[in-house]
Amino acid sequence: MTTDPQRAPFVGVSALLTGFNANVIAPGIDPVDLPSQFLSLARARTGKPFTTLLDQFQTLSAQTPPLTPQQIGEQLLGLNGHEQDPQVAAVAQAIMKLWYLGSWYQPYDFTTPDGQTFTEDLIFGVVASSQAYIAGLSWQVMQSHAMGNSTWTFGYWAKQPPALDEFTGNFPPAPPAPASPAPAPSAA
Amino acid sequence: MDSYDVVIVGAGIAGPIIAKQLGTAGKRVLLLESGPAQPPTERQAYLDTFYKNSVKTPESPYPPMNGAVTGQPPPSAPSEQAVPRATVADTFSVNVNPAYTPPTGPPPPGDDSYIYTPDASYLLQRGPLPFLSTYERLAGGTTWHWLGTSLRFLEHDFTMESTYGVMRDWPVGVYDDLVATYYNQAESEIGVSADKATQESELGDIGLEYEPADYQYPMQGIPTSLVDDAIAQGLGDGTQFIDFEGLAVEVTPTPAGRNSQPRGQRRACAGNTNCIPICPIQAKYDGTVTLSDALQTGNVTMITQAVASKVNVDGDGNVSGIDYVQWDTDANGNVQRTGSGTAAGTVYVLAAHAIETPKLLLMSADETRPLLANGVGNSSGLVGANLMDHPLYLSWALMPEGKNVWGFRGPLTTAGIETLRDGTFRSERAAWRVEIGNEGWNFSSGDPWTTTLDFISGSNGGQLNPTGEILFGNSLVAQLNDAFTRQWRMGFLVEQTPDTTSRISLSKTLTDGLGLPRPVIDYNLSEYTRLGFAYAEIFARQVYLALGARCYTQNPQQQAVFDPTGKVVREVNNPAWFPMEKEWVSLFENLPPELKTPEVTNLPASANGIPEGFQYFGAGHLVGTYVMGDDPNTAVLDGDQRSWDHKNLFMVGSGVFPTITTANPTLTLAALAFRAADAIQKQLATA
Repeated sequence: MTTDPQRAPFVGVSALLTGFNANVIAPGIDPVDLPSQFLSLARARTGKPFTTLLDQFQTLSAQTPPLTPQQIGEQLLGLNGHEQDPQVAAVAQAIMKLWYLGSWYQPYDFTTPDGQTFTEDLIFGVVASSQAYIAGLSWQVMQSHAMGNSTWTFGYWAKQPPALDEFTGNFPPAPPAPASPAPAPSAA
Repeated sequence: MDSYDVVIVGAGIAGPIIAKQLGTAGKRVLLLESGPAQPPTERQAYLDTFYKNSVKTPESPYPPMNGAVTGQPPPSAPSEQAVPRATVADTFSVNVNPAYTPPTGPPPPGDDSYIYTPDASYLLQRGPLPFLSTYERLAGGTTWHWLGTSLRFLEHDFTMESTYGVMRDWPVGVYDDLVATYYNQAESEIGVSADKATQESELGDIGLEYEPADYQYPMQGIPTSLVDDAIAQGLGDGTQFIDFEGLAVEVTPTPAGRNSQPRGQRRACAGNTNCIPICPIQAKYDGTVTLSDALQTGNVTMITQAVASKVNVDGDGNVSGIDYVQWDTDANGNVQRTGSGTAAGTVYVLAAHAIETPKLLLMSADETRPLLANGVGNSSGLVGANLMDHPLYLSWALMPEGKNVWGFRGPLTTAGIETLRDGTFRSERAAWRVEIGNEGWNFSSGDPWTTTLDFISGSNGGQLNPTGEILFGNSLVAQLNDAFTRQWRMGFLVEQTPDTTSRISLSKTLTDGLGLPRPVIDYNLSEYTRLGFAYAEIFARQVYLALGARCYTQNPQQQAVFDPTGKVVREVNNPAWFPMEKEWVSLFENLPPELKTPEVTNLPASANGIPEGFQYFGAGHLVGTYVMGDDPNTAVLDGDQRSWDHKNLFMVGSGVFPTITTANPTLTLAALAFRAADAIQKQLATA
C-alpha cells in the first residue's frame, strides 16, 4: 500500500498552522483518518495553489539554519510584509478552518477538470463529515468536547478540565536549568 | 369503524401522559400523530443530521428544513411540506421581507404582507413584532429539543390579578392540586433531578411550595458548573442591587428533567452540552419515554402521519369524531395524501400544542351553525388568542482576564438566578428568571464558529478581534483558548401579559402540502413586558460590575444579510427589536457612573449608559391560546381543561395557561395533563 506523497507535508503544514501537534491531528492508530479525508477534500476543490502551498511548506521547512514555525507561517500566509499569492494564503486558511471547525469554506471560485464548480463561501461552510465536526480543534482548544459528543462522565463539568497542553499535544519546553543557585533571600 | 374510549390528537408529552394513564387503567385509546413514526433507532439518524447541518438551530436534527438556509438537508418550502412548523431559520435576516412595514393599528383581516417571506417561514407573521418560538411535529413533540428545565410555578403566579391587579387568575383549585399531587407525579414521570432542601431554602420566601413535608425529588440535583460557581462567588451573599432593593440575589441550581443517575433504563447525563437540539444518549427526558410506556399497556393504538383536519360536532353539541388526513412522501420526496379516516371515541383530547390545536379548532368552523360559527369550542372567541412566549433578553460577557470559567461543558444550563421571579414590583413591570448558560457564546454569537473564523481570517463578527488580527499556530491557540474559556451568558425569561390581539388565525390564501390553511400570527409585547427588559438590563450591569466582567451584549436595530463571499447584500430592520421608551430614560440616567461604562454596558461612552432599544429572542415557550378559566365568557376551557362548549372535549398542553409566569412551561403542563387524565377517567366512569 503506498501512502499519498502529499499526506506528510499536508499533516506538517496543518500542524504548523493550527498549533496542534502532528501526533494529535494525525495519530499513529487512527481508524478515522481525518488527514486523508481532509487532504482529498481540500486538494479536489483548490487546484494548483494547494500544491504550491505544500511545496512552499516543504522548502521553508528544509532551510538551514532552520526557520521558526512563526517565520514559516508568516510567509505561507503572506503576513508581516511577506509577499504571497492570495490564493495560496486563502487555501492555507481554508485548511485551518477545516481542522478547527470540521467545515469546508471554499476559498475562491474553482472548477475541477471534469467540470464540477465550487463557489466561494467564507460564511456558511459545508460540514465535511460527522467525524470532522466531532473532532474539530475548536472544541479541543477550549479544553472541552464537541457539542453533541461528550466522552466524559457525569459531573465532569464541576471540575476544571485537563490543561490545554493535553489537548494540543504541544507541551512547553522545560525551563533551562539555572547556571548557579539563586542567592538565598536575606532574613528580614 | 372502531370506537375508542378516548381519541387524542398529538403525541408530544401531554398526549402520551394521558394515553399512558388511561391505557394503564384499561381504557382503549387512539393517538393520532401528524408526524412520522418514531422508533428509538431514529435518534442516531437525527444526531447524524445534526452533526452535518451547517446551521445548528433547535430544528437542525429534524427534517425538513425550511426556506433559504444553505446546508444539509436541503431545505423545502413550508407550502410543500406535509407537517410544516415554525423553525428558527424562518426568522433569519435573509428571510426578512424588506418591504414589510409594521401596522399602526390592528392589521386588517386578509392582509398578506408578512415580516418573513412565506417561502421560508411557515408562520405568516403580521406583527407588529415577530413571534419567535418554534416547535416540532413528530412523536415526542417539541420535547426532543426542550432544555429540560423543570421549575415549579410560584404561588402568586396563579393569582396575578387578585395579588397584583394585573393579568388574570388561574381557575380556583388548580394551584392547590398541583402542589398536593400533580407536580410530584410529573416530576416522577419526567425524572427530575434536584435537591428540595436547597430549592425551599432559596425560593420558599417567594412562594415555592412542596407537599408533603418529606417529599423528595426522584433524583439528586445536577452538579453546578464552574460558570455557576464563579457567578455565585462574585455575587457574594446577595448584595442589595440598585432597583432591586429588598430582593435576594443568589444563584440557585435548576431542577432538570435529566438523569443524575441511571434511571428508567436511561443513562445519567454525560454533559454533551447539546440538550437543545438533541441529547445524544437520552439522559434528558423526552415524550417518547412516556409514549413507549403508553403503547406497552396494550390499550393504546397510535396512527402516525395522520393529520387531524376537522373536529365534528353532533346536534347535541358533543364531539362525534375527528377527521384526519394520512400522508406519505414518494421516492422524490413529494408529499402525497394516501388516505383519510375519522376517529371516534367517547372523549376527545386535543394535545397538538399552542399553534396547531387552535388551528384545528378554527378549521372546524361551520358558519351555518351558530355554535360553530367561529370554530369548535370557540363561543368565547378566545381560541387562538392570548398567544404568549417568554421573550428572552440575552446578555453576554467575558469574565475578567485570568478568571477562566470553561464554558461549553456540562448540560446547557445547571443554575439560574430565581429569586427575582416575584415581588410587589409585579404590579408595575414584568418579572423574569435568569437562566445562566453553560455554552459560552454559542447562542449569543455563534461560537466557536464566529470567533474562530474571526482570528483565522481577520474579521470581527464576534467583537473580539477589533484590530483584525490574523493568527495561526501557538498564538491562535492561545487567543482562542483565552476567549472561549472566559465566555458566558445570561438569558432573562421575561413574562408576558395575556393580550387577545396577540393570536393565531387562519390564512385565507396560503396552505401547506396537504392543502390545509397556514397560521397567521399577530403578536406584540406590552409595555409591562418591555419595562421588564429595562430592569433586566439594569440588573445585568450590576452582575457584570460585581464580577469585573466585560459586557458584549448587542441590541442591533439593523441586521446585515451576507452573500457567501461575506459581502453585505442588504441591511434590514431587525424585526425583533423595540425602542426605549422616553419614560424609562430617567431609570438609566439615575444610575451611578459605574453602571454606565462601556465595560458593563457595551455602549459607547457617549451613550451615557442609555440604551436605544432591546433585541429579544424566543425561549421556545408557546402558551395561552386555549385558556382555561372559571368563566365561560372569558375562557375556552373550564378548570378541568374541558371545553365550556363541548362536554366530551378536553385540551391539554401549554395552550391552557392563563398566564405564562417566569418559569419554563413543560413541568406544569405535564402536571396539568395528569390532572386532566384524572378528570377524564372520572368522566368515563360516569358515562
